[in-house]
Amino acid sequence: MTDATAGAAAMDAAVVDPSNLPDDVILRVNHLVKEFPITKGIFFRKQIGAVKAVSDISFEIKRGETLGLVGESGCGKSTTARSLLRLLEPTSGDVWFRMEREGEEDEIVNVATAKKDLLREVRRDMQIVFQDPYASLNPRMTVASIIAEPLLVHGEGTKSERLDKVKDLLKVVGLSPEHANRYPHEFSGGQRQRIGVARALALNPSFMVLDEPVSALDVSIQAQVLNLMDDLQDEYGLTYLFIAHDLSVVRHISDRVAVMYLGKMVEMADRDALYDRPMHPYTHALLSAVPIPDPHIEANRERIILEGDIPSPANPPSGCRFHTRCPIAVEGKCDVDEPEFRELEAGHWAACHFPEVQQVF
Amino acid sequence: MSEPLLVVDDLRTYFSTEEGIVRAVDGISFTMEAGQRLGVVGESGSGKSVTALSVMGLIEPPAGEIVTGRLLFKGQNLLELDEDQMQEVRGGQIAMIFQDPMTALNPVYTIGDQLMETILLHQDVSRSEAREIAIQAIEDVQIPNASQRMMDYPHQYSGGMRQRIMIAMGLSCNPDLLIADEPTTALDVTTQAQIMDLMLQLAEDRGTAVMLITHDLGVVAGFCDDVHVMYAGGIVESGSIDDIYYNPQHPYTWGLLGSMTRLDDAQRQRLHSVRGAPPSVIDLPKGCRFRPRCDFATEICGEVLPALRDVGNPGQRAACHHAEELDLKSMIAGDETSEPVVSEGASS
Amino acid sequence: MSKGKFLTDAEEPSESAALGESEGIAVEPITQWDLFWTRLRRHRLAMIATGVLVLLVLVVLAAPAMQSAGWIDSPVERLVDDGGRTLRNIAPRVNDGTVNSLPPGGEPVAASPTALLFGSDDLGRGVFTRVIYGGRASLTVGFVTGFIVALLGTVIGSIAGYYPGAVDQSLMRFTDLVLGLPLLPVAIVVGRILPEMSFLPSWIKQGPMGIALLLGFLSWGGLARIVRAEFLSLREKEFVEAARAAGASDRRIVFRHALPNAMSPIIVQTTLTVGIAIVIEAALSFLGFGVPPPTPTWGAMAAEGGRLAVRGFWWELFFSASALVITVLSINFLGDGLRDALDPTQTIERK
Repeated sequence: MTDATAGAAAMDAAVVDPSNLPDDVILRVNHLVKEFPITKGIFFRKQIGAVKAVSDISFEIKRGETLGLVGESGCGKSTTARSLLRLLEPTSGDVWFRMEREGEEDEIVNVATAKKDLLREVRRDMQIVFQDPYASLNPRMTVASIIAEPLLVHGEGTKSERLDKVKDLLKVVGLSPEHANRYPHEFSGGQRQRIGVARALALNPSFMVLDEPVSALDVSIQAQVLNLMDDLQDEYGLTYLFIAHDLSVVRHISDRVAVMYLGKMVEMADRDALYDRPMHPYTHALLSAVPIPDPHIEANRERIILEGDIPSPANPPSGCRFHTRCPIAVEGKCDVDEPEFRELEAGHWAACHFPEVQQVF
Repeated sequence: MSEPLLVVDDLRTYFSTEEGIVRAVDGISFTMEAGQRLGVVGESGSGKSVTALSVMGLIEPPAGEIVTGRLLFKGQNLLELDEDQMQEVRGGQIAMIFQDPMTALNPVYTIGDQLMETILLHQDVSRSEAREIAIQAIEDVQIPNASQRMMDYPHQYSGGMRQRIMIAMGLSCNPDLLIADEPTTALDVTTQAQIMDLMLQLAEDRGTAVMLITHDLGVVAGFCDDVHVMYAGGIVESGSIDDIYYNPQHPYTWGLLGSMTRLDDAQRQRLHSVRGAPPSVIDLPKGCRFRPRCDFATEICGEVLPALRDVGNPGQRAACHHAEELDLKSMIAGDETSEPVVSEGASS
Repeated sequence: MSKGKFLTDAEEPSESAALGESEGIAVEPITQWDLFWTRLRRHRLAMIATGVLVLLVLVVLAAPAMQSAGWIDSPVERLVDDGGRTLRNIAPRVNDGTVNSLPPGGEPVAASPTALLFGSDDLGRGVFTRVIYGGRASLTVGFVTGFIVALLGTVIGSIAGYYPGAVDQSLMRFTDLVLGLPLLPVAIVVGRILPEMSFLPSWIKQGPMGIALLLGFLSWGGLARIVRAEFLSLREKEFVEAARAAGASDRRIVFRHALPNAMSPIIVQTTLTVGIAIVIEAALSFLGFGVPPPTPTWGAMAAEGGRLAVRGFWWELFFSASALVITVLSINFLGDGLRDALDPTQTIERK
């Protein structure tokens, strides 16, 4: 909130001086690009193209807030998350992260270029919870060894201290400590997701990426896990990057929301500003498409139905990537010039040549 | 009133597994009128999909078996038909679309071939007539260049397009009943809007009755006239959408509504979730199946399985011993929009 | 928000009840090994197969001791002379005058009580003792080949699968090359050249060891491909990503996360290889390119027995072939059981 213009200028600069990172910012992503090469040939691999999963996005996350990152499948939101944590190597760009150590001055680390040892150190503070509660737990390890793994890897505590910590963590996420010696398949989806959360909490991180943590769960279980995430944030002062395709869930959990389309950021604003006064035509369509569990509201809603499908990220449209489906696209402009992602109102960013506030529900 | 389109009477469909008997659907009864749009809502394992498969005659012995019950479709008991007669009904008078259209389409035949095959199977027409009908069906689901795209293979279609083709296939023989089993669950939200919009339009134009099976109360709110809420193999509540959303009588329905995050909810309140997880359908609790998760359970709930009975608004039914005593409506948290319109909803 | 609030929120009573636990009592840790044994013991065919294999190995290992104890005879000594008499001066036996093959059973005729249990071959050697000694060759080839394949296939496959790019490409092209070699012709040719190589120790040049090594080095390609594919898919699994996000080293990821989850295809493929190696050794011996005579092997005995069988003397073929079939079947059943037992999602309750 300090001064939006200064923030904007800083964000646009190709290289940000890390000392410029305001005190309340925990993570800043600068011009992040991630491309997956498309190769051909058996003996001599030749690159014949690239899937541009994330094309030059920048944003920052403040300490203690939840940034919701939404978009449809293939928009690059999960790739963004994995690049932040260096689970994928970014093609280019910087990820500045504030490492906080008790009694010491904060250290600002560029995760995108950090060397092995530094990266290991940073990963104490950045953790991730995955979407699929079945694939994210090693089926051959007990719950105790799954949750204790981060501690073990970082050489924390003795065996019995780690076990005590595991039991504490199980309680924190609402499971019983007796579950420690069981295997993942003995648990329901919701319980497994709690185990995944406990693992992420083990090293007392300050920042957590939640990659669609409730998408695979039934509605009643979803609510339990969302409440848990809320409570943990209050309890431990966590900062979340919450990735989801479900805009209702994102509205519920986020402080600010960013919308992605085909590897680009199209709009970013405070939660209520984004939902009540969206400016980008894609956000309009996205919001208008989400059903609301209220028959009377549904009966009177006008939907913006988009034509066609999302184009391939291997071959994105020229100009504005949304122009092929955009109801207000102007020929000669939108298909030629790429709109800049700019701050239209304080804290409200959008990438559109013709932004317009429109209420969609 | 004329004869109902579909009467399901005490349907019980069980599966035998190594762990024991799975009572996937355990004694459900309901009727559907011609042109009615019915939502069947429930979480995984509630028996909603098995209900649909039972009606379609797609329960394969020996693994699964319809143990008891009657399925009267236009007065005729589907369970008494042999496989050939059932084949006539299936696809002809009752059509079904699935969650994953890719598995329902054969990857080695063109879309046109597969559509025409369905048409030739159920209608007495020549190949060229079938072709015309197929092209028309593709146009009806708003796919451009229908005659061109007839020659494409399923993998050349996107997920949303494939689901359109499934709808085209389902509706090509003008069925009286279309069963849609989670038709949009695998799709993105903008594609979901396209598909639901299309289904609503086609069902209204043709007067086709639709049974929409879903876990998403949001989708139901914009599409259905009536809703059945299923839990652990039984219907726990049924009524018009207004009854269910604004005047729930069963604690599970109430809990589901409270668990939903809403796009228009600006208040960011704590969700009122249902604690615990659904029971195993092999080892059902005694008495009310929802009792272990219910905030209002008393002694009787652990003893007697409550029957579905009239409670709440006219036409509304719920399976709860305490439906009358509980004022669940007033406990719908922070929902101002619902309150003033309830009376209007009930009278319509 | 207080902690207590979400604790009650998260209670899942039905679930805990289903798991059958009593409040406050910790469940004993069950190791993967315990689980493995519990599951394997339930697999009846695999248990029978294990019994058969253990018995076979014991008998085969004990063969020299049994011979010195006088329970069986020498596998290369003739028990029956050209006139159908036993060489140890026991009452003359009947034969057709052209071969010395005696049928099984009948009266005690030879040096040991088991001498003619399975009859004799046409040189008058006891089939029973030769089947036992033949098992030494077959099982050696099977197990040694299996070991080499498991080792090479797993190491090469996992390196290729874990390090995509140049490493993967070169290892896999090498694998393709090895897979492209026609097994039998190469084995025949190399088997012929081996004894000529004077610099090699004699345990390689002669006997089953050489064949086992040869087969091992020729047949790891299939397993390497399977392990590579498994590693490629495991690399992308979220639990591996989670381990990396926690800061786990490559070594830990490979040995703690990837390998344990790739065990089931490795074991299944290895047991199949053991069976196939035994059959190939038999085929080589059958064709006359295997272990040189007079050392008995099941394959050589089947070849010789086949010639006799067309003339009505069925027993040598029958017993050597049966030993082969029973062994290979047992190995495959065991492989089946192992695969099921290694499936972590199988519940204890399973029958």
